[in-house]
Amino acid sequence: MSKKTTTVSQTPINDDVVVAEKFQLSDMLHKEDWLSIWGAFIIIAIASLGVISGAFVFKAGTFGKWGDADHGSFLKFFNGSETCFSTWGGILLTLIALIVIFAVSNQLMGKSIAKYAVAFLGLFVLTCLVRLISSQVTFSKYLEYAFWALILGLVISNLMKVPDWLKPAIQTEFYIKTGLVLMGASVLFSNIQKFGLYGLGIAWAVTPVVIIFMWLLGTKYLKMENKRMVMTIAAATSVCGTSAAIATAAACKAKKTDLTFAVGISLIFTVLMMVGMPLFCKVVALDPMVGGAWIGGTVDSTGAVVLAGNALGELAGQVAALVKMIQNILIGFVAFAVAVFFTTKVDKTENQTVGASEIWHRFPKFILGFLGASLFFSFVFQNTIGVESTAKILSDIKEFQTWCFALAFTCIGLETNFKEMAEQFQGGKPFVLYIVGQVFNLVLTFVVAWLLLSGRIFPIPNITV
Amino acid sequence: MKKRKSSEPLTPLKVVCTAGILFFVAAIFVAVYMMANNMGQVPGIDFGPGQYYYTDIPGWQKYFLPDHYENPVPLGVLIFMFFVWGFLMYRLWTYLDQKLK
Repeated sequence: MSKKTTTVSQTPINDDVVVAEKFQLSDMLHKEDWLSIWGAFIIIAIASLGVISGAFVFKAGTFGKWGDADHGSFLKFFNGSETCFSTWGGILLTLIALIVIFAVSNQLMGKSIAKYAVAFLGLFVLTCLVRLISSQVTFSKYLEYAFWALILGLVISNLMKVPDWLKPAIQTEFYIKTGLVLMGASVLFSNIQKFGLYGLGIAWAVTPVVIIFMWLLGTKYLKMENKRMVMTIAAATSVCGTSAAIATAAACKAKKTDLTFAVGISLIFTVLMMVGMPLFCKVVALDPMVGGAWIGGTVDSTGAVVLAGNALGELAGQVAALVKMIQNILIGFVAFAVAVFFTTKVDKTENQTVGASEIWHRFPKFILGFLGASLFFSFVFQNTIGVESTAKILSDIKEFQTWCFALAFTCIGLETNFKEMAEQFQGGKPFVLYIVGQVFNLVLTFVVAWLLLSGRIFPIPNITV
Repeated sequence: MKKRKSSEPLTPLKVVCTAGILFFVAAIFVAVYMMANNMGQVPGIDFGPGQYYYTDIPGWQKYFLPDHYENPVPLGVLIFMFFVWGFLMYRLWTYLDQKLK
């Protein structure tokens, strides 16, 4: 059978031809992917200017913890106290910054700026509620904003109708892409050397093998039709939970329910693994270094990794953090590989050749912003303004990233109905995919960690605590 | 929800999927129990699974900024190995995806 080439054209020719609009320079000012890059870069630039000049601090506001004797009640945010004014002052600055960036972007995309601004105010109020709830002492430790944003959105969309005036602001992908470009700045590639060959061996040798295993399990054995869900769950399991799920879902253009599912299952099993793995390590008297590396390579959330590692001791906590740090670097590269894979292998029909221009057209451009921010901070900023200043900038932009993701998850909840979610269960296949994949991840990571760190084959690394 | 027809055979895959659902439901109850009882906490550490990414951790610099290991391998070698392994794994992924139907 002769191969049919992909044609870049504006009119459909036949079913085998992928129809695409030609890339134009003006896309960079009118398309969502590019606008997410520019919006994030503006935030990064202002925050960097503030740190470098020392003249001002450009940092998003958030609620402090509440709900126990140490932190007080949530009423402290509403009683006219100093905490109340500083909290709402920071949140107001966040609102102004985000509404300007997103509203101007919507104008450039040809949408009504006035309708968007009103809708965004409504969405921001809902997201404020999400962030207030998730700041409660116990919730902030275990679940945080993703869970509560989904719950609040789902309750509103399923128990009452989402009002029409709110709909212009429901732009999940835009918020996710902007948040991811901001996150790119904190993916410091230079951290790859923090644990040398040991870290690279545990984090990088295992991760792609687990992804391939889960992909084949989901698509070939379980025969899951929703390949994007398979990919999102695989990335959440093998890389680092929620953050990786967000990046991968955006890279392979997964449905919102796919991301919801991956994040939900990851949050639940992270709690189980965070409590269970240190207990298991203690029961079998596992070497703290091997145990820490095992925890760092398998537990999804970074916070849970540090906590579970420290439950085994300071050394294990440090090793766990080192391994997880390297896994955090992988997010961008895995997202890049997934975008290329879906563009060239999954989203094409049989016998179709996808040309370079088509790859460029379909490729999610925001990933370039993500990688650009990562490389700039890793190799330019760290070497010119220093590690401390770079860390200060990352701390300042981090909260903007959290707001973007919280807005996105609230939108996902508002757009999802329970019936649609139930359809995604596919007879329980995604559960099997996660559970079997995670067991494989646990076994493989343990074997590699033991081989590298037990001292039987390689010398034990000297870690200072 | 569709009812399973009596004529539909109970395949091993269906048994595995049902077991998966039961395991997941049990996991939810166990996770809620653990959270309700504040399990897994370590004195002096005021965060947990809710901090998804490393910069979400309050005072993340303390855990991630200092150098705790003197790495003898040059950064260039590590980066080279990183990309070689990534490239090989990507090729393996595309090969297996095409080969296994």
